[in-house]
Amino acid sequence: MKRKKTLEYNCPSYGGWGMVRSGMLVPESCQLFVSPPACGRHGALGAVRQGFKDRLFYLCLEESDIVSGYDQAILETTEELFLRLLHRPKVLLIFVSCLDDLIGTDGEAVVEALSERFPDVKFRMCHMNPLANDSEEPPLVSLWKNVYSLMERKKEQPEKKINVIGSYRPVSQESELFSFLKYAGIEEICHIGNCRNYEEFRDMGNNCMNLVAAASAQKAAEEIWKKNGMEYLNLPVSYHFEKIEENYMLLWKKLAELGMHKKEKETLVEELLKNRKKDAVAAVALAKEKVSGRKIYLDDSAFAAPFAAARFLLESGFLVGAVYVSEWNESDADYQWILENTDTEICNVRVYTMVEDWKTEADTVAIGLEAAYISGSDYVVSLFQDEGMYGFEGVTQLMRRIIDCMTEKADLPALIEQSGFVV
Amino acid sequence: MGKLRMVLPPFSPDYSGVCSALFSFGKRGITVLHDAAGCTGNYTGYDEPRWYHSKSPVYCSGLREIDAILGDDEKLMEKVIEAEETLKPELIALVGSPVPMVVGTDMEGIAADLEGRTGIPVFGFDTTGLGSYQQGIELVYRKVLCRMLSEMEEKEVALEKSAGNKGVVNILGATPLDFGGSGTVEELCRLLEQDGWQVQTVLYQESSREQILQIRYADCSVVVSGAALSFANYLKQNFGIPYITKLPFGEAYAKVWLRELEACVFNKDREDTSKEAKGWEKEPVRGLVLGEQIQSEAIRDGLWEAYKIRADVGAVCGFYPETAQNGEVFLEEEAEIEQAINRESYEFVVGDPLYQGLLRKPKRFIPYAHYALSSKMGQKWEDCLIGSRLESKIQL
Repeated sequence: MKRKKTLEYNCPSYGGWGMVRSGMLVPESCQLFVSPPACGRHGALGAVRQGFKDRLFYLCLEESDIVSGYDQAILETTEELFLRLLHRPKVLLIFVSCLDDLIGTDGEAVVEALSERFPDVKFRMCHMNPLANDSEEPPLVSLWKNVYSLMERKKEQPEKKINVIGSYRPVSQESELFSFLKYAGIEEICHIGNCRNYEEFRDMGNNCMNLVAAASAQKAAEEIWKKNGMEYLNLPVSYHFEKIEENYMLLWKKLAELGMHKKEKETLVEELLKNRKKDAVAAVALAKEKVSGRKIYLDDSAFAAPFAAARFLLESGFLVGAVYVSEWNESDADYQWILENTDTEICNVRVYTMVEDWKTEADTVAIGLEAAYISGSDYVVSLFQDEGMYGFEGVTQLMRRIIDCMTEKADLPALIEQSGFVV
Repeated sequence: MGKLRMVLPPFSPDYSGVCSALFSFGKRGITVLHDAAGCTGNYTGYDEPRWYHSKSPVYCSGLREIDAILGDDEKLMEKVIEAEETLKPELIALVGSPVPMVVGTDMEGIAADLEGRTGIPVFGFDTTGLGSYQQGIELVYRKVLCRMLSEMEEKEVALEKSAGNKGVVNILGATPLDFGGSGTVEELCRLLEQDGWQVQTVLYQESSREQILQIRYADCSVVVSGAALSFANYLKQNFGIPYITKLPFGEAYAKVWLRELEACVFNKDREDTSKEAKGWEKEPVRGLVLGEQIQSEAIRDGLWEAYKIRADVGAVCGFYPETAQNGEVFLEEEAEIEQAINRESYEFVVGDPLYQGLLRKPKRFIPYAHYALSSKMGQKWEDCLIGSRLESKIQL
């Protein structure tokens, strides 16, 4: 299948957390958006819905600012902002939009000047620039670099703690990852979303390694490693049993390299994984029974690796009607496998003719809100980027959510509204 | 220098106004927002309540950095031509956004080029994301509708006027950006029909080419937002169609407004009385109505007729001096709105619920959603005030 660049269609359920909500994960931070008013509208409305509009402020640019540059305006507005806020934030993320890519504001100089003026505040210059979506540094990659650069290494001897980075939500407490790491001597799994204040997040820099749960955070992990030698391992979410086992082996090996290896615990680890795999297998069987041959539609908003997820479902005996994606790599092995071995459709959800391809297959299951809208499924799993699912427990949870979604017909407009997604 | 906004989200931008007004063309017109993704997302996600289950062909051009830097307009044109060949629209609109503004993309020039290549009308809109939605709506009326009307053949369409009706009216300026899903426009049509008028073209729901061209045969235009004023003036000058502004909000004011409509149609040479003294000059101003100017004027007049209580109008997103009376001001910046809303002399404020965040002290606040500000977040407060509904909703 050859992808063609065409005009693009935006399905009503298209979107994700967006830059504002993702950046708001930084505890005790505020954001100053520097852009034409239009660029800030969806983020601001999303913030109203999510309840953090009181941490989001705007410097609405005028034509004259764009012509003459707005470096100075950022400095002056930040000063004004801090005067008007009751409490100065510990971090200020300054966002510029697409047009800044062409203007070239000297972000480093702005941050330097602000840091001198307000040494008690950390500043980062961030970019909300979908214009760079196909570049080596798309917006989310650059945002995670900025966000995770706020972690500081202050201790020589790393803590026996691991960071999970790149995922929007912490790994579910039910995941075997916790027990697994405990056997390896790791005392805590840290995630930005669990930090109660900025200091807790900052101190994640003292932990022994970063487990990169989503590809978008890989560059952030690389930069941290270059800066202070903090180890990292790319172990993105997978639902495939062999892959999960392989990931755990890699993690065990890495922990051994870090001197955390506890040989005597190996049997316990094997037992743990065996049991959790058994649970996952049982959950798959139960879900299959419940789904009872209905088609499943899924999309790339639900899964960071939608082809791998689809392949897992297909190999587990589910019927996958279509995989809806907007950007993909044609050399992806799972994509190739689906093409060669199945009748599953692979649809570019962004192509303008998609609007004519809506289905009305009500008696089906959709995983992801775009898949739900396009397929017309009655049964919907509202999932975004794998959420906190990880390891065998992730599979069990996914199956549980499929089973749960079949108890009643979904109210899709309400789910879209609740998601607060922005493009 | 740009202004700091602490509380309010930005209003719907100019490009959303263009897309919203063009929505009436339905599948007959392709609208292409020339942007990377976010601008189209703004419109489809937060500025277009009709988007769910709509097949209206509004698309994103998928602009990328390299195309912007190189000024590669050909890529855009190829995509548009491909869609034109597939969808066979009657017209195409190219809508600008901040990046095309910065790199100086000539939207009108590209439109002219495409028109030559496709043989159908193509309109270029130099919108920038800096202007308000009202400017966008105004642009559509000025460019698309004026051109359609000026190019139409003398006998291309006719209008059959139903016997027994007082006359034919068009409703101009209605978009969901001002009325959301409140049902105001539908109720306005019903009230007009009940009063014996034939409502011809509304430009709110999907309208056919014939319906659009029939605009010129109406007896009167009803202008429900400032964005349509310039088009109403065009119709007046070119086709002799008079117009009336505002909406019949409140039972008492509806009677006044319907009388004005009749006078407008049957006594075309009359002086414009809409700005005449209403006998309220000696009354103290007790409230503020914040929002789109024409709609806010209608609320103000409705409150006066219902309760003899006088209010000022704070117009946001655009100001049209020709309809403004004493006590009407343009509140462009958040700081200006904040200052106005907190004036001690105002006992009450009518406006979008998000303005409440600007109140420093508690004050009676009557929420009346403005989609161009609070979008879906204001849906709970979307209200239709036509006829007696104003008195039911607002009790002073």
